[in-house]
Amino acid sequence: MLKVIERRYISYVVLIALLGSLLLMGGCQQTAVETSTPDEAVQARTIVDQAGREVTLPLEVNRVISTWRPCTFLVYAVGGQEKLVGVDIGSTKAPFTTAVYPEIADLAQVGDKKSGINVEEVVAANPDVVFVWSGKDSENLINQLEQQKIPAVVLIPESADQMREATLLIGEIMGCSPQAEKILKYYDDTLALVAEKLKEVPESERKKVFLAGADGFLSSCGTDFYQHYLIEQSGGINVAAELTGGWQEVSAEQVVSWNPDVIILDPYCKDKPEDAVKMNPGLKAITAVQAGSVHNFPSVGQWTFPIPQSAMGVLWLSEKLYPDLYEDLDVAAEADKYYKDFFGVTYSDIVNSASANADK
Amino acid sequence: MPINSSANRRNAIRMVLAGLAVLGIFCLSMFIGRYHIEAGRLVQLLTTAPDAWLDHPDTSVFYYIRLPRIIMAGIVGAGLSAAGALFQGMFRNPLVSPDILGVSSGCCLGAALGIIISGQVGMAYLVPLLAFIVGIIAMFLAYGIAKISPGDQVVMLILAGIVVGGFFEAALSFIKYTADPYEDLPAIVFWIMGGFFRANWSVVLNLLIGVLPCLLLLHLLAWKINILSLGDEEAGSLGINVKVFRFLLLCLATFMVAGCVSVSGTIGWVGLVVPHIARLLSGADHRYVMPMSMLVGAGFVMLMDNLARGLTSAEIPISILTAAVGTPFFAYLLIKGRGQAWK
Repeated sequence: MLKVIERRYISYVVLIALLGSLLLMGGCQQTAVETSTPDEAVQARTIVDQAGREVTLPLEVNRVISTWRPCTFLVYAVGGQEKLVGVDIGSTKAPFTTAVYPEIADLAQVGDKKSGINVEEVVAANPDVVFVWSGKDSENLINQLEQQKIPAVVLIPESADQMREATLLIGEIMGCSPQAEKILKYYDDTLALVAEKLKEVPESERKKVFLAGADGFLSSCGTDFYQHYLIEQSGGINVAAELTGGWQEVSAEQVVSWNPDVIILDPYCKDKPEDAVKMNPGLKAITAVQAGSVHNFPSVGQWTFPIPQSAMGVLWLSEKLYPDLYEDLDVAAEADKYYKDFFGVTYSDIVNSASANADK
Repeated sequence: MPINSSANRRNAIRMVLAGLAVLGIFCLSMFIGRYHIEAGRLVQLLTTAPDAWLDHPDTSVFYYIRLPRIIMAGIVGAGLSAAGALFQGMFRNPLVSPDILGVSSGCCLGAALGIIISGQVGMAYLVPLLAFIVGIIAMFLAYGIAKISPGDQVVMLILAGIVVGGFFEAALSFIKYTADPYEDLPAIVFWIMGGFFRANWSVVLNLLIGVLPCLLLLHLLAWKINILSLGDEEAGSLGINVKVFRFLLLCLATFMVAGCVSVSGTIGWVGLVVPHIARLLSGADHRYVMPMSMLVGAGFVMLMDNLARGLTSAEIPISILTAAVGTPFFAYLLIKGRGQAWK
């Protein structure tokens, strides 16, 4: 009997001994970390990221990892795409990113906000800096990267001001400040141009806009999302402004009572407007449906992201709301010129290559 | 229950084999990951003095990221599986899993509260702490409700657990509904998804201190679970204070499950399926089911985590993998009529 009991414990003893020895190694190692000092601080500079953290970076940054989509688009905005060595999942296939810089398809996909970041993949790409978001779950990632002596820069491009700050910061870090300033100037000039045109429209005649959101036709967002800012800058009134907490479901009755003049479908809205009206015939009472003012927001280029390229989104939306104001301006041609100037490819070429890929 | 020395002998051999298999999986795991470390280099490094280690990414990746993660996966797997075996035995119900008393729901609610309360940086410890505390509260609530309800205590406990779990899930949904969509909501959703990417040495240390003694105690008390699984009346007639003893075991298991879930998030199917595999390997006697569950659980979760972090360049959520492997296996057990251990 005694022998049997002893045997039962063999597995335990093995397991505990193993774990114990590893733990001891852990103790030794941690003291070793504290005594080691970084000696490559000669060629370094310190910047303050958007979370207020001081980060030491090499003077020249040549290998960059972006961990989520809007940030990848910001890196493109400042013209730093060729320095990317790792990106979020999906950016390797997005029409804009691949058309401008096809080599992105071969980069490591390190993860994204939804499924997390694979730290080993990040280390394997040997980056000079990693851009991370400021969600509360990123602290763990930042600590892990610090242990690997990889600097992490927190970016919070959510509001327009934060987006400007983030663009300039990325430009500074990557040595792309001139293009960062240039593309922000275009952004500001475009918004100013639209605001100038909108002076002709009195407050009482401003169009009411319903943005059908990412959670389906009957979802929308309030003031806390960038889309709200886009609608306002375009001269529209967001009927769902009272919503809080990002995308929220709304009832068909609510949309009817808001009675928007124009309905815009977010690029991430999966529903078709015809289907939504078929399912809820009550929606036919809405002015926008009767007048046929239902538009799909262009899906290529992510113009609803908080990125400088969203200037094109404001231009597009404002033209849809007040076509009379834009008789002298061809928005499609302007988009082509903008993309040709900043990214070397016209917007229609990107759209065409996207639909060609979709047909394949 | 006939005590038969050849059966004991067979079980002992299987236990040793399972232990060796876990050891093998552990060693294999060291070589799996997106950062390529040559086997020879790893062996060479493991045999040299630690202070020569950290300067190279090979070793710092291995030491700070991979190793704690493997150990964490092993401990969490063992903990959830042992708790599952205990609950299934104690409640005499093959469909029970460790979250039956609302512990996991409580942990998720606690973590969500922690995420909302904690500031931008530097308060991350709040999240696992609150997850742990609220997970324990959930169990005590369920136990309290069952205690003051008339009727069969086992049935009442399960019902009360469902009630508490449902309520905590509603509270969680409410928090998600009102949470800040940029900062808090993605973090909450991400936390609940579960995984071992938060592994570091302090997490491993906490787990070792908190969970390992529970595992040992459960193993030592396994023969009493045998008696409890006979039913309240028979157990009572054998001279066991059923209520006190059940409460103690519940506390032990809850402590362990809350400890695991508070650092890894919810990981599905392990606590339900692994005890069945263990029973398949070692019969119905909890003195064997318990350690076998721990070994199989540790090995299973370590293997699944190897896939989670090594298969694609991004992380695959571990619950997808445990469910994708666990459910077909469970179906196989059902079809093959392997529930015989349940008579």
